[in-house]
Amino acid sequence: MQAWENLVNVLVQVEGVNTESGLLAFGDDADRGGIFIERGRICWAVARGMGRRLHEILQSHAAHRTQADFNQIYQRCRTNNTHLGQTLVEEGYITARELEVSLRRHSAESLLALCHDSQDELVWRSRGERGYEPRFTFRPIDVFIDVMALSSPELHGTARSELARFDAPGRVGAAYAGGMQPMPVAAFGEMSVFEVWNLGQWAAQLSRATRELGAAASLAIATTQSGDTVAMWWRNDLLYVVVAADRRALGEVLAYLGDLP
Amino acid sequence: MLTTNIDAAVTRVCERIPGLVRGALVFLPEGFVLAGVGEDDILDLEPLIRAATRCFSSPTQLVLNGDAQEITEYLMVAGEQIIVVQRSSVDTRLALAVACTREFNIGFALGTSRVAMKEIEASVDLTAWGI
Repeated sequence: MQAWENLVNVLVQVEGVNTESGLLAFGDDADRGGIFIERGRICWAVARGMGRRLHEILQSHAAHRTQADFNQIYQRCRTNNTHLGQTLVEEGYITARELEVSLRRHSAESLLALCHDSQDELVWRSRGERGYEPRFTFRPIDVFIDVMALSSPELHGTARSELARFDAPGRVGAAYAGGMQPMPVAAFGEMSVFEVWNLGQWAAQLSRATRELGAAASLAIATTQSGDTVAMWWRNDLLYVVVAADRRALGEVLAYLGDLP
Repeated sequence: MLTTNIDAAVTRVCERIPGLVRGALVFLPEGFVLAGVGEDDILDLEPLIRAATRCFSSPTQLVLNGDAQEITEYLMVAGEQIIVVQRSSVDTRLALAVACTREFNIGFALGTSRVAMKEIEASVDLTAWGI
């Protein structure tokens, strides 16, 4: 639980850096690793000892090439101080899309490692308005869900399938494990990491309120002053929350839950 | 016309809520009951009142699109009952909490409880309570 709270805190800080670029360093002199940030988006995250892992991920996309070929390119990049991933794309070993997937995967794995231990002091090293101009950047919320998928793949898969029914423009939703200490395992829609965390905390409070009734609630609906509908339901030890401005969403949730055995 | 007979007034407006089992007009911050509906003893209303109070007194406020959201109503399906908690738009310290059987649909329970709250706001004089 501490690890994922660390992760939320770190990514909320990333989201807060929305006008600058720089490195969010873990530990003195970034000796444990860091997150390269471009205006609130993640370019890449790396943890100490995870460099080799990136090579493994990249090479998994270039399975048709030999280890010797890969090592040759790697050495050439080291000598010339060029980017390995970019070179692999330019020389046809992997596609740009595969490079993007690799960087995102490696960032998620690195974040899992960085946030696992007790919280380091984080140091922000700004590049000001000088960006890294990376080829790819990732929303913190996407990398956050990637980390959740790595740590709880079955729950992530189950939750993602259930939420997919309700994914539509103008809606957001998430699924949480952990009961009274909700941990997001899947999400969709335009939400920040903070909003996903907040939605779970708020929904868990409602769970506590329903316990006063002496019977476990299977469904709860809240209406906001601005007219949004928040539907919450509990299924297979997961709490699902969908927020929609359109009334059809509530009908879909009710129809779906009504069809369940 | 405002009435100070709160129990009778709340009972009358709640009659239209289908499948009503019990209800209470609640003063939220302290969670005390201003009027009860149904045949239950006041102690039997306690779970309903506590649930209503907890719903609207949670320390974490919902944030969507960067803005804190106020909740105006809750509906919960628990066991064989539907529970609706309607917050007054005139005085947000007031809430109408009702428990209904599940034989009627959720839309009915929500719609009629909204109407009931409006009627309470229009017809019940709470000045004797200092409200």
